[in-house]
Parts: sequence; structure tokens; C-alpha cells
Amino acid sequence: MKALDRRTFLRGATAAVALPTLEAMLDRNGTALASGAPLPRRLGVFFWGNGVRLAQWNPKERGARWALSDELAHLAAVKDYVSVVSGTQIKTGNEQGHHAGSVGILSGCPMVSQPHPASAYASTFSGPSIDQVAADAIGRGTRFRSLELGVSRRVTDNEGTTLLYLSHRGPDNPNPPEYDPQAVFERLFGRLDPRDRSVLDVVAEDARALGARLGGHDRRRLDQHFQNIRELEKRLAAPPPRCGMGAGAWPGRYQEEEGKEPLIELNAAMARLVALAWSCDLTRVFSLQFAGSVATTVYWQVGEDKPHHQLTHDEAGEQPLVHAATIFVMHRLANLLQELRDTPDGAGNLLDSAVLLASTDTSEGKEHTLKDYPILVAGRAGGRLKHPGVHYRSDSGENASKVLLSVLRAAGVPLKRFGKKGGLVEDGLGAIEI
Amino acid sequence: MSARARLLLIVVGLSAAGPARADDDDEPVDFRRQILPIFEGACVECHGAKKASGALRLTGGVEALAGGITGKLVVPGKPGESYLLRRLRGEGDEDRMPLQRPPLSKKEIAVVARWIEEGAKVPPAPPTTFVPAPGGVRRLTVAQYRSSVRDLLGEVPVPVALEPDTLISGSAAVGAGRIVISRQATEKYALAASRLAARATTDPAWWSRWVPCEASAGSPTCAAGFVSHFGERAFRRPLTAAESERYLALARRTPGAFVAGVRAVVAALLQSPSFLYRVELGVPDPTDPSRRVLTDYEMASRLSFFLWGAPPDQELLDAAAAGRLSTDEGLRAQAERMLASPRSRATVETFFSELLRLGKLEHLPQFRSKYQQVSSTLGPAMREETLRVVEEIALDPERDFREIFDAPFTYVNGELAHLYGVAPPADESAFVRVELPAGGPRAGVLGQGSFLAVNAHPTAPSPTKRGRFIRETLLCQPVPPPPPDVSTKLPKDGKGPARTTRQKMAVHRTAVQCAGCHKAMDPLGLPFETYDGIGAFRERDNGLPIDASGELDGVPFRAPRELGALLRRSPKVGVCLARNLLRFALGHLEGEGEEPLVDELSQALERDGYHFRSLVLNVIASRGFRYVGEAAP
Repeated sequence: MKALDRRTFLRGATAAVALPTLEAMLDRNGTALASGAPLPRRLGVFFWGNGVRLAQWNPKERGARWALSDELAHLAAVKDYVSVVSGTQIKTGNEQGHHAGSVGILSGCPMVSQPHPASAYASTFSGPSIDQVAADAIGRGTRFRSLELGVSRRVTDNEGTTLLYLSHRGPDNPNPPEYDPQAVFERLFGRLDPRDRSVLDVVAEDARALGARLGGHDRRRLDQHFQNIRELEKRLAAPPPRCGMGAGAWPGRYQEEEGKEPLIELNAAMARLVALAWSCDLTRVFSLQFAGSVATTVYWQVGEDKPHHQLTHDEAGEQPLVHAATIFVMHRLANLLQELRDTPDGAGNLLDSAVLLASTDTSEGKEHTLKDYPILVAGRAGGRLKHPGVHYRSDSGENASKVLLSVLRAAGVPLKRFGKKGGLVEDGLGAIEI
Repeated sequence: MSARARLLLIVVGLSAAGPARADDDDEPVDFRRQILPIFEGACVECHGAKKASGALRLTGGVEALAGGITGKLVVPGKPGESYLLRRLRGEGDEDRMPLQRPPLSKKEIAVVARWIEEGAKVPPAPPTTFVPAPGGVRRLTVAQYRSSVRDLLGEVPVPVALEPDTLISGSAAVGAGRIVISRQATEKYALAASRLAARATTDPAWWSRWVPCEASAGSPTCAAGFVSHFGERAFRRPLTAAESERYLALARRTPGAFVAGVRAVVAALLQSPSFLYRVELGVPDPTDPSRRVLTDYEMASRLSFFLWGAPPDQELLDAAAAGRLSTDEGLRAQAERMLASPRSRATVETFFSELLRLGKLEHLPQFRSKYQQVSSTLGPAMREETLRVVEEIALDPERDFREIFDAPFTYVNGELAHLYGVAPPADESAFVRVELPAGGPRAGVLGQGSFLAVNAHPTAPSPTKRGRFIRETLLCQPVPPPPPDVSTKLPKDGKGPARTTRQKMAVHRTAVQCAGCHKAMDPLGLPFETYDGIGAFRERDNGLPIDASGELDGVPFRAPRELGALLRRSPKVGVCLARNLLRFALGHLEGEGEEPLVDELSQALERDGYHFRSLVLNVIASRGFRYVGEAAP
């Protein structure tokens, strides 16, 4: 069994972070915990807005012998850990471009339109996003049920929660992401005062008493507030995490300069934070909103000087900038996957035990379509996913929710079915599973 | 029915009496029997009460005649000139209506045409009764949380980065009224409360203000006094007996010295939902069983968060205790006291910051490589400029608020002065009031960087963004998003001589899938091509002279400055302002039953000469401020 290499975790770090003594937790082979329990499986979501260019995204070959397309080229170093799914379709309805795709691929449920005669169109989710479904099943034992991260702050902020936030627990019930790596770091290792258990007890009683006076949506708001407090109480009772926080400047602050977001550096920092959070078993579920649905992110790194969303509509012909931006985003995904692959976990690495879903809010930005949806599934999920990965193409427009069901099963969520209405499926996508 | 609809009501007729005879051509067309069913069957899904694409509702005759963002739907007596028929027939450059549905039959179109020819008569709108929105709870926004902490603990920094507000329709108040609290936010409040409590209890000034004994001389009486006094301030109302006992028990249970018990109580109060949420549930109204009336304490919170963005001060809490807020006079007396205080500036600032989307100025989209004026301080300077102009006008009880559209002055520091080409102040970091050149292009908020620079791209201005801002933000006429599965790709840019942006965007008017909505935005935004992306004035675009003409709902204008004058005269502006202030005060998007409030407020605003202060007082005096409906089941 390989010895853990600290530098592998903390490339570029200046802080001293105490590492978990995983060796002590493992069995002799390093393939299970000493207690006999299997190594934990993890689930992640990587999301970017505004689609791809299908002609340059879809690999030409199918099955095991697929070659990387232009837009997927940067995944070369982790290709064995990636399956591509094409040809499936979001079937939860196409009420509104971008909104529908986002909600459909992230939750397998229809969106909720929130129109108003004197206000801009808005929407929200009708059900929980896939990361929250996983969190409720496999995230209860860790300090954080899930971690929500964001990179580009250029979200569309006046069309409801769907375009603001990836992770939702239900309608108008979002888990806003953290965009500042330093804040993520402080949250991961911040300590609540253990004396506060009895304080939280009183607060919970206040929540219960107030909730009892309310009905409908407000009642649900206070019910969740109550649950949140109870979870905090349990956390105070649990032993502190095995990782400690040292002093130091890591991961640092990243400032936007003159309209140019430092997307490469931010994404790299978030990738390291995910690896750290998973290694320390602070959480088993994360979502990374690299760019929100309809995001007005400007990919200046590849020469864009207009919001990417606008370019997907306005750029003429073969849309070279849109194409270059998609390559750039996939390069960032590759960074994340490489960080996970390079982080030891038992006898293998973090990617061996994880499943990640990577997708977007529409197939192609200029058409707002939900057909031939671009979806990637990464990781080995402890042996549940095919490795090396394959390119599966559906010729019959199968329901994209099948991928979501497979992803959840791979993470250890034993579901017989997933999704609602048009997004309801009872089968996963066997082609990517072992 | 909107004020505007009443003003534009062209023909009011009574519906035909007598038995219904559908196919009788001798009888005039009966709107209610023959036209309304068509609208209800084919149109109201998109042009209805809940969703009104293009701000057009076809739920009744008066609404239909009022039209939407593209102007009037019918010219009575002249079917050939009526826009409605063109869209139903799919004539001209725009999509046939109904969109993505089978077209109306020839017979249906014929009867609509006949209705128009006969004068487009409609029955009068039924009176809309005021129905208050259901009561509920509203979470504190970040700013309100901070001011509450300041009120309770003094000037201490909040030691946790709080979760930012969720904006719904640009409003933090509306978001805070709706969004369910996340785990992360709950945790952050807990962390902040714990740290703030630890700090407060070691501050002698705080201790002597709130705890009626020395730390070394703690006693149950002292604890009770503290819980009662500080608790009432934290919850913005007296604690119930159960709450008092709960908190006293917490103090008793806490191991260690008396201080530890006080700390625990403060930590609990600062994260209790009774602190974090504002309760607006009311009690049954004895005079009207269909609604509830807010209690005095609920009114106190509503009033102080509206006017000061902060919890009630002691004087207001005393007024609530004495029941003085349950009368209109008592409420008004407190409102005027609070408006007179400089603390009311903060709320004016918050309201207009949200309304004019000034938050976006923190991160200007422009690249410095294209615009040398860009700096980290330029955006905040633009925010300061606009706020000073708006506040000067809005806080003056005698001034017409619409001056913001054509104000011939502004406030500049050095950076802004250079951007606008006016003389900079001696101290470049200071803001000074300047008169803008009399014949110059700039006037009012639409000549300011906050409007021009935010609604632009990294290397170019954006007529569509600028037009959309005017439409949605100043006129409250949302532009619908494109229908799904419609290709929005523009035809390829042909090779040829240089063109201005206006010329390149001509296809927005001619392409079928674009025109309907772009018609509402482009004629408003294109005139601002006389300003580049960062807001500097320019004579040429791509080497060619700029055509700065435009059109507001059919009325042409030659330059942006004239648009300011047109907006001043538009009744929609007052309605939109009233609507937004109501949302800000009440914390939700107005329901159909609250439209009468919007009408009353905007009519009063017009009568009062558009004094912002009067509008604020009228919001407070309105039925919507005092009454709520039953909470949703």
C-alpha cells in the first residue's frame, strides 16, 4: 500500500493541514475500512451553462474504442475515468429555454414556472437536485451533508432560483454556492462552540413554536429551519474532524480584475478544496457550479469579449469562440478530475470511489434544445462504473434521467426509480455500469 | 384595472341584451359572448392574469384595449389598421398569434375583425376588490441583520461572512420573504451568534446598558430583568411567558459563572427564528372577517424596517405597547417622526440601489484593455453619483421625483468628471455637484455611468440591455424570454462596408422570431449608442455618424435627452415606482388583489406632484400595509 504523500494533497499550499490518519482506518489490503465497512463512495456534480457544439462534442466512435472529440480533448489524462453519454433527451418538458434543461438534468423533475404580469419571468425547481438526493442518502454521517461551490459569479440573477443556484432541496429552497475559496476553507474547518448545544436546543424550540403558527410554504420554511438546527446540534455532539486547520494563507483570495474573472485559478482552488474535503471525509457530496445556467460569464481567456450566453446566440457560422470556450470549460473539468485522481484514497484514489455527473443547461445554446443532451459520467464508483469508460449513444432518444439513476446507484443510493412526470425512469443506463 | 387602462379606455359599451344568437350578423358583436371566449381559449395561457407576455392581458375588454409593450392592439372602427388582426393573420415581420398553436379559424378572425369595425366595444371592467396578500414571515436581509446587531450590541463587526441575499425580481425583500433557509445560512447565523455573544458579554459598556447587575453579583432577578429587557428588543416584542421561562432555564442550566449564562442567552436570541424572521400574521379583523389586521408590534417592525431598514427603536416599541399604532393617526405620527430622522436615508439608498440595480457596479463588465477609464473605484463612484442625485430629489418633499429623468445636474468626483468631460473638482476624490452643459447630451439617470456602463459588454455598449433596462426597470414591462426550440441565431454577417451597431441590428426588426420582443427594447436602447461601453460620449460608431433617434411606444424622439422628457410624461413611470415601493415595503410580488393598491398609490402620486415622500406615507397609510389575508393553509 502506498504511503500517503502530503505534497500530493497540497500542491502549492502554504498552510500546514493535519491529514487524516487514513492508514489507521484501513484494513490490511487498503480496500475497505478496518471495521469491515466498504470505503465510502462519493458523488459530485459539475455544471456549466449554455451548452456545447454537438458536432464538435460528440465522439465519432461508440463503445470502448471511442476517441476524444475536439471539445473533450483536455480529458486525455483521465479518459479512462470518463464515459460519454449522447443521444438521450430531457423529457421533463421544455417550458423555457435553459431553465427546463437545467432543472431537467439536475433533478429529473419538471421545472416550476413563476411568471408575473409586471415582473421578469422566473422559475424554480419542483424537487431536489441530484446532489441533495445523494446527500440525504449517503451524507448523513459526515460533518457536511453536501458542499456547494461556485466559480463564475456572472449568474443571471433576476429569473428566479433556477438560474442563480444549482443545488436545490425543493421549490424556492436553494443551497447557494460559496464563490470564495478562503470562505470554503474556513467553513470546512470552522468550529462551533461545543457549549452551544443547549443554546441550539432553545433555538430549536423557538423554531418549532413559530412554525406551529404558520401554514403552507412558510410552515415548510420553519420546519426546515428546525431540521437544520437539529442537524447542527448533532454535529456538536459528534467528535471533531480528524483534519485540523493550520495557519497560513492557503487557499488565498482571488480578485476579479478589470472585468476578467480568474476562472482558472478559482477552479483549481475549488478542485483542491474538494479533494481535501473528501480526503478528510468532511462530506461525500459536492456540486460545483462552474458557470450558472444562462450565465453571462465572459471567457476572456479564449478571446471572448461578450457574455458567453450572448455569443451562443449571436456568433455567426461555426461559432469558433463558443467552441473555444467549451474546450476551456472541459479543461477545467479535467483539472478537477485530475486533482481527484491524484489524491490517494485507500489503495487507490478519490476518483476510484466517486461518481461525477457533468452536464449543462441545454444541448446547444443557440437552439435551446433538450435533445442529444451532452452528459459526462466520471469516476469508478468503487467498481460500479465501467472502467475504462465508454461512449454510449442512444439512437432512440432515451430518457436522460436513466443516467441520473445510474449515477445515484453508483454512489450507493439504492433507488428503484428516479424522477417525476416525464423525467420518471425505472431503469438506469446499463451501458455505463458494470 | 390599471389607471392607465382607465385613461386609455376608448369605448365603453354595454353588452348586448337579449338571448344569445351566435351566428346572427345583424346583431352587433357581443364582446363577452363572442370575443372573450376566443381570447380565453387561445390567448390567455400567455396573456393572462398570472403570465402576461409583452405586458398584454386578454382577460377582459378593458385590458385588451389597453394593449401591451407594443402599443395599442386595435384602432376602433379600423380593422385594417389594427395590430391585433395583423398578428392573428401572421402578416408582416412577426410571428402569427397564437404562438406555437393552431391559428384561429377564418370565422373567428372574421368575427374579431367585425368587432373592431363596429367600434371595438367592451363592457366596463368589474370593480376589483382589494384582497390583501396572505400573512407570513419574512427573514431579515443581510443589511437588516446587520442593523439589528448594531441595535443590540453596538458597533461590532459581524464576524462571519453571511450568505448573500437572494434577489427575486431584483428585490432582496421579496427574496427574503420567500426563500427557504439553507443549512449553510443556519450554520452561519449560529457561528455569528456565538461569537457576537462572547464579545458582547466581555464589553463593559454593553453589560452596563443591558444587564441590571454586576457580573459578580448575578441573581435570578437580574437574569429575569435581562431576559425581559434584552429579549424584547431582540424579538421586537415582549417575550411570552413560555419564552421567558425557556431562556431563564437556559441561563440557569449553563455551567460556570453568571456571565456564561448571559452569553448563552444572547447567543440563543441572536439566532432564534423569532429574531431572524419578522412575523406578519395579524389577528382577525373584528370589522371584516375576510382579513386580518397586524398587531401593534407587527406594525412597528413593518414600519421601522421599511423606513430605517432597522428594528423599532424604544420610542416606537413604546408606541406599540400603548396601542398607538392601531390608529391611522398614531401610525402616521410615528412615520413622520422616522422620516424626519437621518436614519431614513439608509432605506432610500437601499430602495433605489435595488431598483436601479446599482449592485452590479461592484463588478463592471468592461475590460481595461478597451476602456482606459476602468478602475476598481470607477463602479463605486458611479454608484455614489446616482445615489446622490436620486437622494437629492427623492428626499426633498417638494420636488417632483421625475426630475431624475431629466435632471440637468449630477455629482462627480475626479474620475467621473474625466469620463463625462466636465471640469473635475480640485480634490479629485471628493464629490461635487455640477451643472451639466445646457445643450449637452446628458441629463438625468440615463446619462449616468450607472445606467450606461452596467448595461454594456466588455468592449462595446449594448442597446438591447439598455433598452431592456428601461422597459423592465423603469416601466415595469417585462420582456418575455424567447420561446423554446426557436433558433435565435442571426444570419451571418455579410462582408461589406463598415456598419454601425444600429445597422447590424436591423435584422432584429426584420427576422420573424426576433421582432416581437426587440421592438420593445431596441428603439429605446439604440439612441444610447451616442455613449460608448463605459459611458463616454461619442460622435461616431465604427467611423460612421450615429443615428440617435428612437421611439417610446409610438412617440418618436431624436436623442436620449428627449427620452428623459418623454419618460417624465409617461404615466407608466409613476405606476412602476409605486409598484416597486410596495414590493419593498411588503416583501412580496403584488397579487392580483393588490392591483387596486397600485392604482390608488399611483393616482395619488400623480395628484401630489410626484413627491416621493408622499408616496412613502401613502404606502404606510394604505390598506395593504395594515391588513393581511389568512396565511396559506
